[in-house]
Amino acid sequence: MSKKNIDELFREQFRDFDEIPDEKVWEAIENSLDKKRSKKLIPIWWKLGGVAAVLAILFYLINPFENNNSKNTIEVTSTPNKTIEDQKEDLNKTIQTEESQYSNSDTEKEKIEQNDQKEDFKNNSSYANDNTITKNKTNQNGATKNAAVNKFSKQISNTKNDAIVNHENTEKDKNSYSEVTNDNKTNAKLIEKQDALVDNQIDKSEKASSNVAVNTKDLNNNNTESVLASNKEEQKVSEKKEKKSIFDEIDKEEEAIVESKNDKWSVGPSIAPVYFNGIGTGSPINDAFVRNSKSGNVNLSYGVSVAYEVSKKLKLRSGVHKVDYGYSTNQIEFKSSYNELSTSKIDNITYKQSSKNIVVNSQVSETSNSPAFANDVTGKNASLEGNLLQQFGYVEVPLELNYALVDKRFGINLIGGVSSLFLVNNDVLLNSGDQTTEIGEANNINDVNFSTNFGFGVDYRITPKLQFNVEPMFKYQLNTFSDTAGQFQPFSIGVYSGISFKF
Amino acid sequence: MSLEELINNCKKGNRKAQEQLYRDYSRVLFGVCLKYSRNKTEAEDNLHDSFMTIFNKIDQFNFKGSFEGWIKRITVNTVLQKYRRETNLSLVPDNIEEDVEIDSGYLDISLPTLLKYIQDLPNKYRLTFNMYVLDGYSHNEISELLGTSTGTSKSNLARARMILRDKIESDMKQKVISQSLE
Repeated sequence: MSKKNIDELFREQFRDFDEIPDEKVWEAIENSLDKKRSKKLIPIWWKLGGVAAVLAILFYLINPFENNNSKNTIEVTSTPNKTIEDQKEDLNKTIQTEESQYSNSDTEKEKIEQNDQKEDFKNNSSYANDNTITKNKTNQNGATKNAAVNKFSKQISNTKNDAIVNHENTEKDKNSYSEVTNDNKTNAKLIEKQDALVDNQIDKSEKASSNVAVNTKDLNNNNTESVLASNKEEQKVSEKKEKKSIFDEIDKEEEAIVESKNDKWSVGPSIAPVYFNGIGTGSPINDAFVRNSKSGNVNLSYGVSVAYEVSKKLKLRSGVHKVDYGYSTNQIEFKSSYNELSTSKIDNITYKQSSKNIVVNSQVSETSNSPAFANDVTGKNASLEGNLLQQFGYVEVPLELNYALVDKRFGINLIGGVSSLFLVNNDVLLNSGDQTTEIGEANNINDVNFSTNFGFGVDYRITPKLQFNVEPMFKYQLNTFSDTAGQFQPFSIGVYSGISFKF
Repeated sequence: MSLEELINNCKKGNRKAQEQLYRDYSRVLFGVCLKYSRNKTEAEDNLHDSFMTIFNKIDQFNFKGSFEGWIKRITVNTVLQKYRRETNLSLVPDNIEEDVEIDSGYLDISLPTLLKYIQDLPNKYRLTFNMYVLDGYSHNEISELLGTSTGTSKSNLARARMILRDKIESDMKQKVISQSLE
């Protein structure tokens, strides 16, 4: 029997060897190609998500716990309700209040002059934002007092102690009410006023565009505030710009994503009006206010939602949201007092230095014992009616399950889950008419808080990749307060609407 | 559509072109996969992975050299990646036979049977035998691709040949015995 090389045997047989593969192989390749396309997009989203998360953390977590000026300004911008315009009005009122309180022969004359100034202020207010400081500097010649006030450092040594502290600590002091009520050095101030007015007039003649309004504010030692306010404004604007650019970026990316086919992940912005209130008649602030009428406020929640499709019907959702809650206790009266009376203090509020002599009482509570009247210079009872407004802001990280009841172009979902809420903003404000002053922060709010969430969602698939959704949610908070008077279980209701993009 | 157009359309990610490319070359590449894999299922997996690699890397094909050669190499590399990690348990045999011969009477063995013999070889033997004998790789290339020395490659090849010969001979003897019994 002849021998043959084994290599030859195989080589001959396998020459041009081929085989038709099963059709399922191509189907698998097609699927993989689809997946690959969407996989490529994920890193973009992670990057954007990362940027958003980092920014959110920077804005809301790091800054509020720092103790410097920049912190204050940033925090203020998180609830930028009052503009320079408002401030101006408040200021005018303050001036008038003061004048009426301290009857003085010069009042009439001053009033007229101040009105003039107000007009000037209006004219100049448009320039005021960025020019305040420099303009103030131009006033220095011949107006030593002005200059002193305008310069930050000098001002600290010249102005009254509590005013300095006030300015340093001010976070949201958008008007000078507390100062006015607390201010006892009227005579000195009136002299200052007159001086300043003279200065102003000199300035006016010297420089048509000089910012008289700032001088007006000097009268109430508010100059810093105006400077601060303008800084705040700038800060606000810049922050807005920054935010806008991020969303623009996201929008751009979103457009790019629309083409790709459906997959497990979806992400998108959401926004919601959120109503906050409590179950029970108690007060989160003090038992003196249990009988007061209270009302929840509507605030805004916004953020980014991420969802992962566990199965066709079930989605796991998370995200990062900024949410503000507001709650007001009505029928409050408050006045200033000379002494810091510990008895008239509300335990659950950590008072700001500048607000230490504000006494807050309930108009309806029988426990209200109207402690020592303010020793007003005019002998007038300066008690004001208003409401006590609590504001607290959180960064919310939800973890929710979304079960699809109807999974068509038009879908209905059941949603349930929990949220972790991290406190980033906490203020107690007094509100009277259109004047608001911050008196401090509540010390009975927990830094970390959890809520249980229920709701249902309605969504509409615009394209296979793009979905619009509306989700009314009820969130019952578990441990918002460490200590409340009476029964008070907070909850929030929000209607979240947003767009989600699958990738 | 010319091959060049087809490739260019694949580079753009055109799904139709990708499918056409698959239709044109899947037979040949599946043949490669069947030889290098342990069974049909793994061959299908490997074909899938190879085409994914081809579509991923088609951008890098610059029309130098044969396209078929290029995608064959990709396929072999894809399969190697899967099997070369698995350790080679067998020791280098003492007596390396350079030429393994079998009786020419055994030559009428069917292709599927031969394929089965190859597929049943241990990974490194199978890969080496395929590369060297059927696809014309040198020992240098093989040792580089498998991360071994050329010595190991040679001994793997010799070992593969001996296993195949033993297999063929024992099967043939079995066949002869069963035939004589009838």
